[in-house]
Amino acid sequence: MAEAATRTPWRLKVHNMEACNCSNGCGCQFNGFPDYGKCEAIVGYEVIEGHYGDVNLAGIRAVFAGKWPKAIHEGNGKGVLFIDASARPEQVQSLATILSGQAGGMPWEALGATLTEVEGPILQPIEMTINGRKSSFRVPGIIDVHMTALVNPVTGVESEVHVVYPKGGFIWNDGEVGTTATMHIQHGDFNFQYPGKWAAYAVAEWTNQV
Amino acid sequence: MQSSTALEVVLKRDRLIVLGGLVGITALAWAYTGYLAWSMDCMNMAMPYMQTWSITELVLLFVMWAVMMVAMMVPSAAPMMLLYTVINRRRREQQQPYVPTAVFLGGYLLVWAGFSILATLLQWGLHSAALLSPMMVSTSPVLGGLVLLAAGGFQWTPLKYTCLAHCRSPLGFLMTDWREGHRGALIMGLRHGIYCVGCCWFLMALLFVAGVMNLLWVAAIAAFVLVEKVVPRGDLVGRVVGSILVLAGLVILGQVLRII
Repeated sequence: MAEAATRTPWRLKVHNMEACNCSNGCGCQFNGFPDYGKCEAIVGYEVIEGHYGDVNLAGIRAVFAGKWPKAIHEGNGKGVLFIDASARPEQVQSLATILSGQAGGMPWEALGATLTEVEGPILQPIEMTINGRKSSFRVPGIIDVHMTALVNPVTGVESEVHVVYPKGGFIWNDGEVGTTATMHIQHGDFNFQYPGKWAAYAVAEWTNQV
Repeated sequence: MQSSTALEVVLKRDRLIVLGGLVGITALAWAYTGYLAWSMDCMNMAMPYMQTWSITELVLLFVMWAVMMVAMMVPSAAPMMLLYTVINRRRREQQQPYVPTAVFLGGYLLVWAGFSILATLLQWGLHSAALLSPMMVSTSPVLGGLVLLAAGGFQWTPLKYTCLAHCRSPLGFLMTDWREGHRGALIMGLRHGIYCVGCCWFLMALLFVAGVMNLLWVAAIAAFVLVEKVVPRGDLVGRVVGSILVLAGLVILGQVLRII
């Protein structure tokens, strides 16, 4: 399409691990408003396969933390982006361009429009354990997110919960829902912790190609 | 990725321009709606009491409905329009093709114009059946009670939930229903408009009970739509108000049937 011709084509398929301050059913996923007025979230990504133009992005890890004073769509958000220190400079540049929304493509172009300030990319070692709703990731000394399964309070059995959008969700289509055992960040303005809240793991696919 | 201050200033100004435009359009529409209501009150310009209306009167009636819908619906569409504006402003800053928000808003308002045609025809039908007075107020308490009952019940239906969820989630809509170009923007506007009509059409039927040009009710319904769409937990407010409408309908019907 002529409209997108001048933009570098990109495509990403990632492990998406998200945790935020909402209750177990993150309100923003369903009706646009967070449960407790504001949104504070940390999301980890590991690229399964993907590219930005000629730059291969497979295997790159990144962590994005964001906070919005009200609902995300009302804007005034602040974000900070960490990219794994092992990534090559052109990979860092490419991933940062995509995740800031500058290369177009949903969901990042719309999310980018809600952020007035983004810090980074900050290069740091990122540790990740991909294991569905029990995944975890760390930026040592700064961020620690450990997801765990929801447990049935009566029987004590772990619940296998999925949130599925058969016709396509706005970030991902099929999320394994859990909760957080640990969820905190300490970095400048970003200083929060929300254990026991919303957490989800999903494989997400995004592109700026029609 | 460091945000530049200059860019932020431009961004904020752009939001202000669109916000100013939305406020201006809304204010004009309200002024015109108020003028029409005033004309009817003070100058005795009620709709002719004849069984048939001329085409001119029908067109004027349509204009009245369309302007009133602009006045009532543009404020609650503002969060969506503003987010759309920022996305396109950023594209413009990057020398990318962008689309003015007016195209998106135009699609949205086209749907409400279509709705206004249906409302005009319905009003014509009700008038012909002598169910509306020349002042455009329902003459039948039974009809009034039934409309209240149905409008309140509608607040609790899956259709209402689905449409309201779409309207309350601008980010979700833009992420999943995004289309490129002017034509894409128009289609997005139409789709967003259809969800909003799905959400609010029955509320507009209340105007036939209270009087189509009853400014107090027009304002109250517009304020309610705004709360329902842009305030956290507004969806719960919608259900509570739905229950109140059902109660009011039951009371009116009860009085007609002399049960209470």
